[in-house]
Parts: sequence; C-alpha cells; structure tokens
Amino acid sequence: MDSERRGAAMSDNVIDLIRGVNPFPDELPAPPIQPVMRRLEGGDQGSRSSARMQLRPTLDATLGALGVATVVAVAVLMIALAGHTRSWTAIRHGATSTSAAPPRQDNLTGTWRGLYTGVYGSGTLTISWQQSAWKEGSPGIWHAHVNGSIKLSPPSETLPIRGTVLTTCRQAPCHHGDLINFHTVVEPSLVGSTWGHSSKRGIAYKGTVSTSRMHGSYQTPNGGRLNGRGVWSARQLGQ
Amino acid sequence: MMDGTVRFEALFRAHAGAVRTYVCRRCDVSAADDVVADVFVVAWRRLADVPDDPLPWLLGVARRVLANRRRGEARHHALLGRVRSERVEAMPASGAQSDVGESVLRVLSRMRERDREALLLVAWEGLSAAQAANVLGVSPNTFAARLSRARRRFAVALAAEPGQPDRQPWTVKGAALL
Repeated sequence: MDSERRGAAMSDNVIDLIRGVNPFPDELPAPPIQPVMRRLEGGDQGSRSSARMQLRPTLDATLGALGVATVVAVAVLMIALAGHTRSWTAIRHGATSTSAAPPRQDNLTGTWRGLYTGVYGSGTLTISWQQSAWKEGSPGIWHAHVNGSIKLSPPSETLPIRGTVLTTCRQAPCHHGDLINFHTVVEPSLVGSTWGHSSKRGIAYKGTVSTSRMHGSYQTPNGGRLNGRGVWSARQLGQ
Repeated sequence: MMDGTVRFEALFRAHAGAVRTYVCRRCDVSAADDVVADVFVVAWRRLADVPDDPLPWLLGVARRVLANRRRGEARHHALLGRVRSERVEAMPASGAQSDVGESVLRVLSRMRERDREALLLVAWEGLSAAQAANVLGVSPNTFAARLSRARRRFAVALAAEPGQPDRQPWTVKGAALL
C-alpha cells in the first residue's frame, strides 16, 4: 500500500514538472465566432453538403470530375486573390460588409510601457514601434507587422524588435483577443552580450493584445547567458 | 435548425477558448485560429455526434486537424527537426546553464508523440484519465497503461539528461518509478 502511495506521488511529481513548462498556463480567450460562421455560410453547412451529396450520383462521372477540377481551380484563384487584393475582398462582400476595412480602428503604433518578471528578476520595459497596415491573408484572418525598439531596465539595454499581430475578425472594430508575437533582433555587435547569442533572434515574446493593453510570456534564446522564461505586460501610452 | 444553431453557438462559447489554448500549446500561434475554425466546422457538420462532455471530443478533432496539417508540412518539419536536433547537440552540456524547464522541454521534444500527448493531456490540459482516453480514442485502461509507460520513460530520460546531478529529486523519484 505504501509503495502504491509512493508511486502515485512520484507520478504526480512528473506531471508537476511538465505542468511547470506549460507555455500557456491559463486558458486563452475564445476567438471570434465570425470566421467559423463565414466558413459555414460559404458552403460547409451540413444541410447544404447533404443536398449536394444527394445530387451527385445523378451526374455523369466525367462531368463530376470536371466540375470538381473547376471548383478547385476557382477556389485556388479566389484564395490567391483574397491574399493580395483588398479591393477584390470589398467586391466579394459588397457594400454592406465591412470586411475590407481594417479589423481595428486604432492600431498598436506608439509607445507602450510595462513590466516583466521572470526566473532572474523583474524590471520595466518600454516599447516604441510602428504597425503596418492590416492585411487579410485568408478570409477573416488579418495580420500586421510591428517594427520598433524595446528598452529594458535592468539590464539597461535598447534592442530592435520586430513581430506580427494576428486577428480573426469579420467586422470592424475588433478590439479583443488579438495574438501578438515579436522578438528582439540581435545586432552583430550585441551577439554574445547579456541577451544575445549566435542567432539574430533574441528574446521571443508572445501574448494577446487588446485596445490599449497587452500581456504574455517571453523566452530568452537557447544558449544565451540568461536562459529563461517569464511574463510581461504593457499599456499603451500614446501614438 | 434553430436548435442546432443555438447549440453550436453555445458549444463555441463554452469551449473555443480551451480548444484554442490546446492548439496554441502545440503549433504556431499564428495558425491557431485557423485550426480552431476547422475544428468547429467539423463540430457543426457532426453536431449530432458531439457527446454530453464535448471538450475531449473537440480536442480529439483538434488533434486530428493538427496531424493533417503536420502531414502536409512533413518536408518542412523534417528540415526543422534536423535543425532543432543540431541546436540541441550544440547546447552546452554543463548543467549550470540548463535549468529544469529546459531539460523537461528537451525530454518532451524527444519523446514519441503518443507518449508525449498522454503526458500533456493530463499535465497541460488538466484532463482526467477518462477524458484523455476519449481524446485519443482509446479505452481508459489503455490510456492508463500508456500514461504509466510515458511517465516512466520521461523520468528515465530526464534522469539521463547531461549535467543533471543524481541528487535531483526527479531523478530519484524517476528511478523509483522503474
């Protein structure tokens, strides 16, 4: 009996260790339902699919194959156009849809100030960056790039940063639950310094961003002198 | 029809966050919402099959969607895996520079997918053995055996990590699991 209890406790220890490296310890907010509904409206609805399946046996096999090939070709063309042509998106949704508009009326451009804390201490961070225009890569999925710098204290260092913010949104404005990823860019002169190592990628940050707040976790690069993880948060001061 | 829509929206509201978290823990965050959308499109199509406890069922779908995507990117991942293994080999062997978290992640990354997923469903998703078995489509007894083996393999692999002194608690406890 003792050995059973001891075995269970030891097994729990393994689970605890693995739980400790969970990259997202807390449940993320649900994404918007609109992209799913859009896909369903676009032909994935079960009843419509069933109706098509019932009609299919009546078609000649050759015509069916040609039809599928045509649909695939048109779909590929539509996806390509959606990725590169904002105006096409506007035409597709018509004047009543706001899908062609950027998913956020504000953007992340400006200065953000906040805190970080991790395995080797805490400090402040100040991010100054500019956000590019939103682009709709796939229907309902928008992304934009951010470029700028992050000032950390301590250690007192300012590093260039670059990243991507991603949102799924059909109708402007969307202000919640956007995912953000960015990382410091290690300049050649900084390789081997406190944060840097042999890669051009330094500290990797990921998290979520709302209208004026963002938070998430960070990880310093493998092989860096201060190898570790932590969390960060920041508020937007102004554009 | 209306009932189905209401039920689907309730399903989404209740579980989309958990599905998104599950996906974000296993793939690039930028692709996560796309995977979540795929999962719920499947859920809509098979709404009648969704059980009373829907989360394990949804996570099972998410697992298959991720597996399909990975198969599609097999060549990319093969290259990535080679690069990663080179990076792991290049990491310093000294225990002074690698903390426990790094060792745990390294061991997890080297485990077989079925062993790793058994551990992660319990440790990260917080599922019970019965729920995790449902996600993997196996019986609870099969899952219990798989989890037990995975724990033992994890403990042995962690104990063998370079630079980890024998007195580390997980080493002692891991060895006791044998």
